[in-house]
Amino acid sequence: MQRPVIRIRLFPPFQNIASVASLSVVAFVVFSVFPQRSEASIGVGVQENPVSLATVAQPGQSYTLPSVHVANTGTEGETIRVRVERLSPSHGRFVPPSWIHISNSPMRLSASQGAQIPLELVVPADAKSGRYLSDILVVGSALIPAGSANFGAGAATKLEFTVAPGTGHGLWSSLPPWTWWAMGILLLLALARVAVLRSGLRIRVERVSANRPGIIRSRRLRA
Amino acid sequence: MPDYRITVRRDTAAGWIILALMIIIGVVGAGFGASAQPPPGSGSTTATLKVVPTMRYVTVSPAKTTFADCTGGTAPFPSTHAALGYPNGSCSVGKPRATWPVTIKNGPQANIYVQSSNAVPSDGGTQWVLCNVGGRSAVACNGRSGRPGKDQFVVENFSQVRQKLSELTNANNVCDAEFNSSRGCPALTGQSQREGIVLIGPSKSDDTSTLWRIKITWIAVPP
Repeated sequence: MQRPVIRIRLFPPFQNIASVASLSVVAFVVFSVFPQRSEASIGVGVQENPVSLATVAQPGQSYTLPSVHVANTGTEGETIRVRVERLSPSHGRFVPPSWIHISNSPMRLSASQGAQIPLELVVPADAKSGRYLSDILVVGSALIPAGSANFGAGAATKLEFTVAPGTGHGLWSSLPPWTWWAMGILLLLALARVAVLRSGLRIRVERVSANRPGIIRSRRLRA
Repeated sequence: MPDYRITVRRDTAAGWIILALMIIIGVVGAGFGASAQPPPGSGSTTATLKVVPTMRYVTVSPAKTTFADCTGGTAPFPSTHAALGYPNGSCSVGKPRATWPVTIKNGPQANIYVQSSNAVPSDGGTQWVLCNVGGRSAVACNGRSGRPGKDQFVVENFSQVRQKLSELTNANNVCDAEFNSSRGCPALTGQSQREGIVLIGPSKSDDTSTLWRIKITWIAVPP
C-alpha cells in the first residue's frame, strides 16, 4: 500500500527563509563536527629574571650558574637552541660564549612544554676583572621544509656576573697547591708566636746545681 | 741528677685582654650553637606554593608560509605567480597596504628584533647571501643600481601601521622597525603586530635548485 505523500508548497518568501534556515543548520553541524583548525604558531619563552652569579667569580675557577627556564609557547613541537649573545643595550664587558657551558641544547620541546637548561661558568685564569654582561638567547624553530619561508621566535634574558682581580699571573698562578698549604701553616705558626709574645707570658727555666748548692744557673726564656 | 725549676708568669695586661677576648668568643659561639636548635615542645609544617612562571616570550603565526605574487625578471626567466624569476624577481608574503599575514605577538614589555637567514638551496649548494641596499649589514648589494647581485638577495618587511619597507639584516641585534621605529623597537605587554614580507632575488644564481628555504626570526630582548 503506497503511502500518500502530502506536498507542501511554501509561499515564495517562506521558501527562501526555509532554505537559509536549512543551510544554517547544515553549516552549524559541519563546523561542530569538524572544528576549524586554528593557525599554527611558533613561540619561545625564557625566564624574565636575569641569570646572575651570586658570588664574585675568581679567575681560573668554575661556577654552576642558576639554570635558565625556557618554554615552547607555540602550538607545535619545535627545536630549542640556547646560546650566549650580547643583545640588550647595557654597559659591561662582553661575555665570551666559550665561558658558558650550556647543557641540553639543542633540545626538542612539544607545545607548551618547559625545561630547565643547566649553565656553567668557566672563567679562564687570564680573565680581566670587572662586570660582565650579555644575554642568554633562546631560539625556537620548526622543521624547515624547502621551498618556504619559515619563521622563528626568540627570547633573551640577561646574563650578569663579576670577575674579581686575578691573584696574580706568572709565578703565583703557576705554584702547585701544596705550596699554598705550606705557606698557610707557616703563617699560622708566625701568628701564634706573635700572639704568645703579645700575651705577656714569661717562661723561666732554672737549673739548681747539685755540686754547689745555692748557686742557680738560670736561663730565662721569652716564649 | 740536676733539679729544674720552671716558672711561668704573666707580667703585662695584654694577656688578660687576650684571655677575655677568647672567653667572649667562646660564649658567643656557644650562644649561636644553642639558637640553631628548635625550642623544645614546638612543631612545624611545610607548605608549598606554586606560582606562574614569569617569562619573556614572542609568538609568531603562522609558523611557516610560502612566498607568492612573484613579479619581475625578464625573458627567458621571468617570474611566474609562485616562482621567482631572474634577474631580481620579487615575491612576497602579503601585500603592502593590503594584507599582512604574519602576526608577531609579544609577551611582557620588550624590544623586538628581527633577522633573516641566508637562502639555502634544497641541494645544499651555494647559498644566497642576504645583502642590504642601505649598507645596514656587512654585505652590500653589488648588483646594478644597488640591487642584489649574483647569489645575493634582499628581504624587507612592512606592517599595517608602517607601509614603508624595511630591510632585514642577518644580525641578531637589529630592531624590527615595524614596532615603534622612532626610538628603538619597544613592544608593550601583549602588543601584537601584523606584518608582510617582500623578497628580491639575485641577478643570477650559481645554484640551479628550484626550492630554497629562508628563516626569519623575531626576538624579544630585555628593554
